[in-house]
Amino acid sequence: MNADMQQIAALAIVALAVLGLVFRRRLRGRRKSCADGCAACPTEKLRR
Amino acid sequence: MAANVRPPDPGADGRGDLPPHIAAASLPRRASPASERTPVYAMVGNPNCGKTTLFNALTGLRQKVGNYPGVTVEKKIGEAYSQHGRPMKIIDLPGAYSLAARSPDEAVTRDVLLGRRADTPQPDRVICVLDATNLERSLYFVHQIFDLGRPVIVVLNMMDLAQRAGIEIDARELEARLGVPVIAGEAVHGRGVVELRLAMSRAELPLPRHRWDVPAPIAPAVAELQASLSEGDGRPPLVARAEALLLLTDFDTVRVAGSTPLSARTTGILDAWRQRWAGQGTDWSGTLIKSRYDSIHRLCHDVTRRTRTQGPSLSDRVDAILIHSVWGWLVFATIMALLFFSIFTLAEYPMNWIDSQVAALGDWVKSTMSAGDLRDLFTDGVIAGVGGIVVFLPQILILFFFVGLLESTGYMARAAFLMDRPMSRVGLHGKSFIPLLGSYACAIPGIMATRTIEDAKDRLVTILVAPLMSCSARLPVYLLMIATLLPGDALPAGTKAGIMLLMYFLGTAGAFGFAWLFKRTLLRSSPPLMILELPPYQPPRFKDILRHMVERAWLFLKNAGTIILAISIVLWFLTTYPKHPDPAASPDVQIAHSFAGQAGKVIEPLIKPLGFDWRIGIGLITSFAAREVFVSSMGVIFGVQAGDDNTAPIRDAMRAAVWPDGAPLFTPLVCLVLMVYYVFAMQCMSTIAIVKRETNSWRWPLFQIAYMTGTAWLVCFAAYQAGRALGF
Ligand SMILES: Nc1nc2c(ncn2[C@@H]2O[C@H](COP(=O)(O)OP(=O)(O)OP(=O)(O)O)[C@@H](O)[C@H]2O)c(=O)[nH]1
Ligand SMILES: [Mg+2]
Repeated sequence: MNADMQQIAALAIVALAVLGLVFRRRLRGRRKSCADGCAACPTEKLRR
Repeated sequence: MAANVRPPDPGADGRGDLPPHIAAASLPRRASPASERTPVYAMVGNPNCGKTTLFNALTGLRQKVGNYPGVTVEKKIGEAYSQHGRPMKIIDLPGAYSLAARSPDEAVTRDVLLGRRADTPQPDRVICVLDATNLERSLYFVHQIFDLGRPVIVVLNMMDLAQRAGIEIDARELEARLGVPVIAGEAVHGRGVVELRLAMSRAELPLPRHRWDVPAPIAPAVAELQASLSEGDGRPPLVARAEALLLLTDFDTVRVAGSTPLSARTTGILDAWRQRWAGQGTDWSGTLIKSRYDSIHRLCHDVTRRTRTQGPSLSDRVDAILIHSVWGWLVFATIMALLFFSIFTLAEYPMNWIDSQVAALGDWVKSTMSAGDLRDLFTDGVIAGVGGIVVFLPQILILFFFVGLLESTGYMARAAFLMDRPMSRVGLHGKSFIPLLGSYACAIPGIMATRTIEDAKDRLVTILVAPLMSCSARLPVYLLMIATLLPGDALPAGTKAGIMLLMYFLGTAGAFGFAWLFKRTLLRSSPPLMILELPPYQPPRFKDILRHMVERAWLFLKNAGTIILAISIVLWFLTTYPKHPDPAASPDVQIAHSFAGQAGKVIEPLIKPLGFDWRIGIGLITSFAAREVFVSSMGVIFGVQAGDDNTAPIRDAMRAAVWPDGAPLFTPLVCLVLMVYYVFAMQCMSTIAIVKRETNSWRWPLFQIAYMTGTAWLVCFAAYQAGRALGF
């Protein structure tokens, strides 16, 4: 990959990261039933 | 007292497959709605009686369990399946001693049971969990639940402990007397869960038969209040009766009414009766409580038998040492020292391994990709940033292992007891120490745990100081600074652990100091009385602890792979662009020319008095998201700056960093000051959000940011300037 291509790819990744940070809330989706969604909350996976 | 009449046909509800003792109590005196709607069960009982253990067993969820009162502080809805495969909803609730709630966590239980929570369905049926070693006290709360007139299943939990203590309870007799299914069980060992699921699967459940006679002087007041509550306040009839009884038990109306105010008519009736009794010298509250307890006492007397009189239990004998005013502290200090020592010694091997893997990955990327921005993004942004923080996973897990041990053995409550004396000096009681101790892991569950504190002002003070306790997110920052400060293996782990212990001590002392200050100024209230149950010691539940560690590890890695990754990428961009016009410019010149470099120069005057340069400043800003981001930011900044041929760990790059005049940046003094900054500064978005939610306003979180970060700056300023003056 030449330097120009690398630059374009790098900038695209940066843009993705920015979008990810900005829309973090929406990406994560709304949490059900759980009022906090904080680090204290154990994962809600069902064992079965 | 209800007669012991057995129903003639155990299969009355058409389910002959039930164990006879459950079916025996099955004669329904009122059909409960066996509609298509998913039945909703509430799990209630005293704190620490095993509700969440049962809830987890039934639903397969992994809610936190711990051997101290007040683990669960918020409702949690889970789903289970009946024996016939039909879904059932179960609500796990915080433990309570009475429906008249004294603290916010008990209020959650009260409001859910009385159907006041808009976000939670009102339970159709109630699972009452009793602690068999404390039957009488457990029954008091259950007795109040009976007044609600809902079908009840009673679980007699902790039968193993009761047996060991020489208490024998006749579950069949209790069942006959209460008129509801009684299931003897040991939730930790899964005993009784199948029987409970069977009982829950029944289409119809009996209503409690055990009634008590309201004392004659109080009865007319109950009737009048009940009428007013159901007509004027719109309460369902049975809830109205239960609520009337509660209002006549407790002097503090708010404990019963909560945030749903009573109508003027009801308040009028209540006041009129209370005044009348005051005139007659009737102790209405005492009379009601006593008559309830009398009824319970008779019941307990009939169903319990002590097989042997007991000397002091093992727990009592251990407690003679662990809460001793001298030995207790010695043990406490030893545990803490052991914790920090193992963080440095045990964690070293996995840490070195991860370090070498990260370095190998960086080398591999460098050797396979041609030079360019994308390669730099991978090595200096992603690998330096994320890899720099993942290295600290072992230490964080060790911390959580220790905290898990403290929580599951029951030592947590002893630590709180021990702390009661110093805590009362600052105007708080030992109960506040449980949230504070929990904040060593993370301030967020710590702040949630303050819901067990009765006094609103005490609770607020505890919330305000909880983030001063050094949380696990500070651990990577401390470790990085200690590694930079004390190069190589020249110094024994003891010294490093000592510095670490000092930081934890500083944070704890800060929390105490500010609690004292706030109690004296902003939030005055009378010194509280401490009532805290000391649960019996239990062997640690390694499975639970390991599971919790896996959860935390996953959370940590997820954070590293999402937020920290994104911040590292963005930071890489900010330190790389705009590019210097001269492509051959040295990395130092290039980074100074970048966005981050320019922004850093703007903020540098603010932090220069603390001995920090703009690169540290960038780290301080990015770590507002979360403290550990500081470490990844240092990784990115010094990775970019070190140029292409760097694969050394960040700490080496940091140690080589200099000011423009060539003086070293990370002198031992600066490393220490930086650690002190992180001890005090409020650098955590999630904590701010939780404080906002728990205090219902922006006022307190903003105050918290201001006072903590202000203190951090002042203390660091004083420390740095003093250090400089002393020649460091
Ligand atoms: N020996 C014994 N221990 C039990 C039993 N059931 C639960 N435990 C332990 O008791 C402690 C408390 O259990 P939890 O399920 O957290 O209790 P809880 O009622 O949810 O407590 P809160 O949420 O504080 O109200 C834990 O250490 C459990 O392992 C039992 O039947 N026998
Ligand atoms: Mg619980």
